[in-house]
Amino acid sequence: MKIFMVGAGQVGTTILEALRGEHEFRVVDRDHERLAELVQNYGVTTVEGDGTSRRVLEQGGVDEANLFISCTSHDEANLIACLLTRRLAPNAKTIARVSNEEYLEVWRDRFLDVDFVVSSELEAALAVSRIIGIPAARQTDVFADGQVQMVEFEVPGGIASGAVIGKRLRESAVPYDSRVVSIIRAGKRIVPRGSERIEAGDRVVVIGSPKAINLWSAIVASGEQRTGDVVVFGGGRTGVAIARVLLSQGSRVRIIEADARRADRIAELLPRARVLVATGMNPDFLDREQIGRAEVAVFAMREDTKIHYAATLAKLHGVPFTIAIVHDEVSIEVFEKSGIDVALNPRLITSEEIVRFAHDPRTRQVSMLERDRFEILDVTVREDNELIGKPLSELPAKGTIIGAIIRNDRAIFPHGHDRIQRGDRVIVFTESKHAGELEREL
Amino acid sequence: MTARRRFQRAVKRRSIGVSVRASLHALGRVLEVASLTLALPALVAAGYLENPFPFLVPLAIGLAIGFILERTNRGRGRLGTREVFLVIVLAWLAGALLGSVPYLLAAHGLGHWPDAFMESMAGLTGTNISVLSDPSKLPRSLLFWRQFSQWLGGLGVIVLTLALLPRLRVGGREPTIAEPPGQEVERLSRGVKIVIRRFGFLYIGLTVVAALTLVGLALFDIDDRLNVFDAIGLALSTVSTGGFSTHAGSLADFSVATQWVVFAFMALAGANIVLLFRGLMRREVRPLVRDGETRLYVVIALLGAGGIAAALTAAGHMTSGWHSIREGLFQSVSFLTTSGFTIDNISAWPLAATAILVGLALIGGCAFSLSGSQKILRVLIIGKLLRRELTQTVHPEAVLHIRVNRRRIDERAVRGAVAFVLVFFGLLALGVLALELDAARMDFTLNVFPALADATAALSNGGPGLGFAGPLGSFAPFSDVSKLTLSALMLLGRLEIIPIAVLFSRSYWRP
Repeated sequence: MKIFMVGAGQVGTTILEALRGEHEFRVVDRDHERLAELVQNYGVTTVEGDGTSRRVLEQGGVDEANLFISCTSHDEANLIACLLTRRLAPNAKTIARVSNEEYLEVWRDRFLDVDFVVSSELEAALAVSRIIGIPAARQTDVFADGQVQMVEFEVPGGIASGAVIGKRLRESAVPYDSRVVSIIRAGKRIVPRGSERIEAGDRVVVIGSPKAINLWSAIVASGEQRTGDVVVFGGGRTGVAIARVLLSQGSRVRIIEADARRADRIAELLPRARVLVATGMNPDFLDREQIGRAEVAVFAMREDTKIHYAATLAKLHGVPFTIAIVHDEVSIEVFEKSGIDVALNPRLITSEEIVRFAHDPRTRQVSMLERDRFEILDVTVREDNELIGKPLSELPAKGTIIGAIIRNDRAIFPHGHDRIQRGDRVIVFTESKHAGELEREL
Repeated sequence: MTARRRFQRAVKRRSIGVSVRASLHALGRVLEVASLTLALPALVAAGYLENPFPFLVPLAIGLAIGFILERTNRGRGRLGTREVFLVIVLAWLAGALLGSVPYLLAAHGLGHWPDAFMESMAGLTGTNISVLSDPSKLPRSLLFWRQFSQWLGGLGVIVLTLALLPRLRVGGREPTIAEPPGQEVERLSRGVKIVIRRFGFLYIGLTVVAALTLVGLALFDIDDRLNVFDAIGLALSTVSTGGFSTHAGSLADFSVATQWVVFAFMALAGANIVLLFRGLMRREVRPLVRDGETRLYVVIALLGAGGIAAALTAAGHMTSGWHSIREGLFQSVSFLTTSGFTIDNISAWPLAATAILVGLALIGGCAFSLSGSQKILRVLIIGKLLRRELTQTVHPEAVLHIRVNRRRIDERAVRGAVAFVLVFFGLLALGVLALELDAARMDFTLNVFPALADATAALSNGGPGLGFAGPLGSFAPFSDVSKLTLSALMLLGRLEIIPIAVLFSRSYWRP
């Protein structure tokens, strides 16, 4: 496959490293030295110039490309490059990296003719949510940019029967936009048919909307277990994206932002978060606000060195778990070596996401459960699949359950009478041993 | 004219910052329209074979003055924000003066000018303060004018609170609070037209429905003490939260059915008319049900009712529990909406109950309603402000916005609300002081609580007072000075103080 890539920064380099073995690359960048480095290290063909220029794209031979990736740090440049390529090379798939989440919204509403858009802010936020979101859950994962959530809950042993627990599933008040895809009792899997019941001590796997999952949290856990207490340092766009996702999952979130005007803006954007104007480097402040009693601190400031200092200080004040959103390539190692629990690099996450799409545009994401006994796949159904048009209840069962359908980039939580349509993406739960077969069948 | 003379005139005109002539021009136009409303009581007089001249005389005077003012000041200066303040104050004063003329001229009217002026001012501001102990002795046409003037005042209030005050940013009213989001703030004159077209018609519609209901009660003999004249008169003073009754005993003379109808319509009149419009005309009930101010309105009314019922029961005042609840509910809503109807002789009530009534009148109805006083929205904002101060003490670095209905209230609006409440209470204290001093001058004994109740009645445009003669008695025993003081308080309260206060500030007149 011929890949034409605009942007030779951290993201571009990571993508190049991952894919250059199998594919032929051509890289455009304005920076002469970066390109020289790429030529020296990887021996790829490079074009010096602006990726938003039609002349540069044409001369670089974009019309031969099968896949076009624009991953500079400028959102607008990436989108324009993709839109130009749509005309210059109609057969190439296009991928744009953006940081601003709003562009993602617009893309989802089909205003932007780009095949795949990755928002590094949202990816970072979802990555954080996978680690600390929904505290009541044993395990959690997020699909379709956060529209679909998967959670495995442990139903406590002593829990009393209620509208959901202990009732037959078909009679129980399961939150509307959610589906129970599996019950695991004493290590054995039970297919959740209408006649089954969820009992105390079970584990249940649920796929649903963030709201429905919140309701589930309330069903299986008491108030205190449900709400995490998270402090986000730095109210930039990444910090706000993280706060937004965690708030939607029912966590209590405090945001610490040094700039008073920005803080004011955040308080307006996120009325449920508590916004504090402070640098986060002041021990008195940390004491006064009892930051040390928070369960998690997430650091999303602009400079890695500041993050490192603030995170270490927060650790000293007693925060048990710290997550750093870092920018430099080497930071992850430095951070994790020096006692910060998790370091995430949004650029790396973004490039991983792009690589995944480049590898296999059909299967977006796989999530493992109960070690690796079960899998949840996010697969686009083949255009010519014979399952299209059939009601879900007629699908070959084999313990496979469709938890959600992504249609036109909006999530639907199906019931038996819903049908799969052309272009649908499905979030399916299956046993790992059937996963390969299932992927081929879809 | 020499060049020097022209220079001197030009410079002289610049020396004050308000275009008085533009204001007078606008005042002329208002007067022309306003004086025409006197034609209606004149017609009523003709219908009852009474003398229509008491109404035709001020009608002619008003038309003439209005015409002269409009003609002589045409094209002079621009009507800007500052001028609007002046127009508002002058128009209400002129309206009260014109409206007092029928009381003076009519046979069996009020011979004494301060009495007539206070009666007229009470009518126009929707206050139930009166020098009459038995209004039913007035000629029919004059009695109709008394009720109708309250209704006209209500129409003025709609224009004032929905179109003018938000644009003048008075007392924390912001255009954004009145108008639903996404709607642009219109030009002033256009804004007035839109408000009249929308909410004026809703007001007229409510009046018609109230009148028809009450007329129905009268015609079908459900209330045999109510006649058609009373029914229409009560409808006019109910939807305007005015509170004038056509009978001496307020509503105590009428049946329970009539009282409940009045209750329902005054409760509506005390609600946010913008949300009411959306609920009734556009079937969007949600904004009304979800509205924080409306909810607090209901809660305060119920708490007041409960408190009064408890106080009455504790004092052994009522015969049955249900009776005290009914009285509590009616009086609570009557005072909270600043209507001032009574269904019992409340001056015989225990102090605890009447104190609650005064407290309710000091709050008032919703911000964009027909009721007077400080309004629930301001109470809500200030409550949230206090809570924020407490939170801020514990978390000095926190950014805490004051939100109503999830929308942020601008800091400037919060400040405006605080200033308004402070000035309101300041004026109230001054009012009490003035009444007490005047009573002392006249060698009367006026206790502090009745004085407070009377000043509250006037400033909140509620009523009735609890002064010398109690709620069913009249304000006649007060001296002229006190009557004019009360008139001033009524006007100040109705115009939300600031438009009048600003006229006394130097910066207003400076260019």
